Amino acid sequence: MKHFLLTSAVVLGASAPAWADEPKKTPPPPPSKPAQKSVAEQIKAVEDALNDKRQELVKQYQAAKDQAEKDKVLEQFNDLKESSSKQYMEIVREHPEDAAAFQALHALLMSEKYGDEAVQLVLKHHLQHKEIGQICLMLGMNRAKGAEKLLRAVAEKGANDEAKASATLALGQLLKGNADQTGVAPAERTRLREEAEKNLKTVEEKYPAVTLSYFGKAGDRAKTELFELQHLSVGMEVPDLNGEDLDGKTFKLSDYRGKVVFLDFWAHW
Amino acid sequence: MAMLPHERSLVKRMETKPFALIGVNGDNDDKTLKKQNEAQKITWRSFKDNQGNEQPVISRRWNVLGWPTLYLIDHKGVIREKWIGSPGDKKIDEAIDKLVSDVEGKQKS
Repeated sequence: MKHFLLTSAVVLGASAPAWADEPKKTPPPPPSKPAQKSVAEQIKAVEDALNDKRQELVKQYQAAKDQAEKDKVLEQFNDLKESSSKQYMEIVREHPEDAAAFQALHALLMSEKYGDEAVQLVLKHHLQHKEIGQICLMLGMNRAKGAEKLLRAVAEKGANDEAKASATLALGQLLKGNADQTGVAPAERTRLREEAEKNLKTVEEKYPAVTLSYFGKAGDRAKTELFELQHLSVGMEVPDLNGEDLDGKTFKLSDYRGKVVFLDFWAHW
Repeated sequence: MAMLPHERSLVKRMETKPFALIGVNGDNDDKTLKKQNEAQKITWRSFKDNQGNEQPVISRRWNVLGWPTLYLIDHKGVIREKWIGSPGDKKIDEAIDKLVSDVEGKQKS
């Protein structure tokens, strides 16, 4: 979990450099008036401060001697995320329709505290934005709070097939993930899976050749999602795995039938 | 690899129980991997899923998009929990303990 928090903090910044490319739309103010910063400039200022502090915290994390020290740094990461989110939200509330505001909203969609509000503002002002498909895919993977509403709206009213395909796929993914959460009642689980399946099949049938950002053909992604839904969901018998261990000896997952197995997809990186 | 300390203690704690931790490893470089496994005292078995520099076969087929992805499978081979990103050591332990004690209960009766 902690590892994940750190990752998400870094990812938040990784999506940000696009802001630097935002054209500065506001012409320089006449010299007589006090300088009014454009929305893009205001957001850039928050972003720059965030990046500086984040770099410092990464250094502190790497230098931390034990888990307690690391935990402290992670706490500061969270505080930093929280306070930047607050600042973004304040700027965005003033000018939700500004093109630059979309980028800040993008970052806010994942926020626990402002996610819902950010979704509302994107729905209202940026439903037709050219990057909305990409954002939908991210939301589907991360099962972000409030995402469902946005995904449903884009799936229906998106500006083009790429947006609609991305949102429909992400909706399927989100519902599939929700069904597998601990403690979901069986009837609700079935309902979520049926709707997930319906959406994924829609992608397969209506948008098979649409190219998604980063993820290739929508039809292929939908197929893989459907395989997972139909064979790898909670309550299903696990498909067997057959392969080599790190010493080159072959073995099967089913060799361990009779034991409880904790299967961990992992790597050192 | 934030999960390693917990996994090491989990494997130790479950040594005599009907339990196995199995990995699906996505590292590319076998030599470095072996060195790191020795250094980190990774004793449990993993499927090799690197296949040279090709895309990993198992994780691609299983649609793994986040690491770690974790499946908890009961003694009959039924998937009982699934987590993308660790839910925390406590939740993992509780879920495992419950399933293991179910098996042990059945073995006694």
